[in-house]
Amino acid sequence: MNDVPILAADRLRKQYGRHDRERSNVFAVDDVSVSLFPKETLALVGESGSGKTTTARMLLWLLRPTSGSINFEGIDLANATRTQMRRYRSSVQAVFQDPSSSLNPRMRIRDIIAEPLAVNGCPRKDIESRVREAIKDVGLDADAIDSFPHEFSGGQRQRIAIARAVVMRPRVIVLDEPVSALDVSIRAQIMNLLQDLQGFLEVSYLLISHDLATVRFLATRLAVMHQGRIVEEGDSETVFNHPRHDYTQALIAAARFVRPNDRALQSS
Amino acid sequence: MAMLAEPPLLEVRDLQTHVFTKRGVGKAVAGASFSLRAGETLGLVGESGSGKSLACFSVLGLNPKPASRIVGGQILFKGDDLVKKSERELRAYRGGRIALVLQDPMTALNPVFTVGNQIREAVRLHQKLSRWAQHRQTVNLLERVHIQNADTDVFAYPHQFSGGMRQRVVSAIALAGKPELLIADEPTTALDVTVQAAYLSLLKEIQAAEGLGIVFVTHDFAVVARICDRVAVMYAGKVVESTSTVELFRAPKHPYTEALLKSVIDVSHRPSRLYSIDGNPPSIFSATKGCSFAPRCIHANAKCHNEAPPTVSTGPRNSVSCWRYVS
Amino acid sequence: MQNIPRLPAIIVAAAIFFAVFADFLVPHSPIDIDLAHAQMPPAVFSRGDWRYPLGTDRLGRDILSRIVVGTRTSLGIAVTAILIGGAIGTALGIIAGYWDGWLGVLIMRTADAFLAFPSLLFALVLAITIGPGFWIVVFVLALALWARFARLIRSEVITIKNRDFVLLARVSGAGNVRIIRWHLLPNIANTLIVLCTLQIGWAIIVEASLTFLGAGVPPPTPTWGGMVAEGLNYIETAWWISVIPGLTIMLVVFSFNLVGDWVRDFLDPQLRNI
Repeated sequence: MNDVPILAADRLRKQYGRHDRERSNVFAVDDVSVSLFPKETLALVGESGSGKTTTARMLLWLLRPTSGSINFEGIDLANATRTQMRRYRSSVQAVFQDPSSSLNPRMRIRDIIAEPLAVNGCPRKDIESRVREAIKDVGLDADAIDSFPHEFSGGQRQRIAIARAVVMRPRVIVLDEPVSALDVSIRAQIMNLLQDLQGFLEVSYLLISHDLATVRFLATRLAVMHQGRIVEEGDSETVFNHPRHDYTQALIAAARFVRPNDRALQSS
Repeated sequence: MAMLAEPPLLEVRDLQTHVFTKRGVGKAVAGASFSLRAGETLGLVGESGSGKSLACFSVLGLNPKPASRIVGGQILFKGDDLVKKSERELRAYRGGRIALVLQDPMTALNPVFTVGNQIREAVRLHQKLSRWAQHRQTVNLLERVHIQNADTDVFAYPHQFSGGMRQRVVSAIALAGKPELLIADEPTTALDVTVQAAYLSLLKEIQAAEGLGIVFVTHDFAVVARICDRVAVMYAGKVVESTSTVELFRAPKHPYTEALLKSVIDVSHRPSRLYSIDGNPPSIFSATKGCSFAPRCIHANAKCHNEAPPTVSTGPRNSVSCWRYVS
Repeated sequence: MQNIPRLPAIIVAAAIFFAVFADFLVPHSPIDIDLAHAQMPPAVFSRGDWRYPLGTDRLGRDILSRIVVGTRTSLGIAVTAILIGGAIGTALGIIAGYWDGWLGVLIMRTADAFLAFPSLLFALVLAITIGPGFWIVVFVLALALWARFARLIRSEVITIKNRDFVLLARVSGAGNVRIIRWHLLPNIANTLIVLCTLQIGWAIIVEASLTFLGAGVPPPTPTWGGMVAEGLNYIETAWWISVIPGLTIMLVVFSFNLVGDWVRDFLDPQLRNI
């Protein structure tokens, strides 16, 4: 295990509401510290209101923490120079939950996927080939790039969103509920794709989800969040097999799928 | 041995609801048949585009008009064909005899009225009671759905409740008319996993007490296992398999059902690879010759691609639509 | 292009056509005085003459020709005012929406003030002090218009800037300019087009009102409002001098509104398929 995490949150706090209001004691995220190392998948799980999405948004520097710091390759983002910021932006990408709102409906697929390249100074002549490579990486036909998002199904749009995330060959991809909005039979396709991509790109995933079953497939480490705090953290299989905190146990129990015939066996 | 000839509470026969758009006519529900008895819970399982939600809305005549229309089939509620009813006649059924619970409780509730107000409105519509009696009935309904401080909460607004509680309020509204049939369209999908189980238990409890029939639309097999007695699996607008829950999990017959069950990810172990079904469901605008699942079916042969399979009976109330079971 | 309301669309197309090619189309000069043929009724009546299909006014000028040439003035003012007011309003709306905070609040409060603007009064004041004219009217209209654009665009921008695809663009490293250019503008285009189309009717009426009151475009340039004003004294004897331009205003504004409604429905992606 390398010593320096690629992306780390140190004692993050996020508070909503103004200071003078009564409600200023509500912390959406309360003293959260996580680290993401190379070639691993850290899963951040919890239910709605647990603060996992807020944490992810702060790690993506879309939200400023009320206190605490976000460090990329050891550098505090709050004090980063423009060059360091640019390096951070080109190394950390994201895929969000809703494939319909992740893609600009007025842009062609080619331009959507090319955007990170264009923004980060990729030479014009290389953009087209890299876009084609990315679209093929996610299992779609190269001629899809001339179309618009509404011409694709939910699963296909999510693949396009993934293509945009991988085109820069980032070090980290933050996946915020990547399959929750998809049909059951498509979820497996996308999760398998994510596994394949991680294999050949050697990228680290920060996987945020409320669905423990899908998380177990990819996770190497697990952090369980409840009401803004991390209540349990550790190696994924260890936590799944021997959960210590009550809430973790409750989550796993609720996710358990009891087939009717098994129920008959269980009650005996 | 199955129950004696007790007539079904709801029997949908070969329902066809088409969608009319600029792109053409979409056969969103293309011949769906399912039924359930009083006191039974039928799970209507399918993915997006299967037509399950539209089929349910069609039962109550609530399919969006003029964009969609029921073009064929029968919807028999205790023997009466609802397809033939006028809008006025259908209104008598809505709420009072057949109630609906939808997926998102936040949009089902009006944010500017108190919870009690909204329940009382339903009570007033379906029962002749004095104002005081209406209020008492409202509080009773809240207690029935396990809202703790019903006396005070009746004056609260929807935004003051959590998601799970809101869904209970929606259910209370649905029950206000003392319906015989409840259609629930993915009511737990928007709820947290730890809250789902409690809600499902509540539904079961109410069903046992009232003898309510429940049609439960879902894509989640865990929910099916927990609450449904029977299951109808829908694909591309048709019911491809209809069977009891126990039988479905023990021995699924239709290849789509098999594949769906294999796609379910179990939290109890870490798989090395997830089972997925290749391809995508067909567009409702394309007319397929043959079985609609054939392009994705691992067992498909030439006959499957050329001719749509008939629905054959595989048990007293069970059926499947697949050439493998046609002798 | 189905469901386009046929007659209104034809009228709108005709109005645009006339505005551009007016000079070549008119059978008579719109401004030459010809007292010999003064106050002739429209051709369908007994004293009328098919050389002057819609009749003539008190100075013998052919009403049809004046209406056709007047199209250019009316539409010209409307379009110019909308372009100027719209551009300013859109720019300020984007600024207010994208960079929320004290600047946004300042812009919006100013917009609120301008919405309450007594355009008519202001135009009259200007007309008296500086003198009436084409650009005075454009100026006054633009002043009233920009606020409507600013408010609408601001709320659109606020909605769009929080959409996932904008957040993801930021995650990719896109700067504000790029986001505004590629993500905001294309997605507010529909709203903008619809607003423009719907304001044309309003602008025509205000211009007509101003000219009617004497604060608009001065004679001899024919404008519909001016024609209505000139014919007022003759309403009992030669009613057509006022009524025909009045009907024209009503018809053209109504048509633009109907076409504007259709454009809005046409561009709305959610209604697109029905």
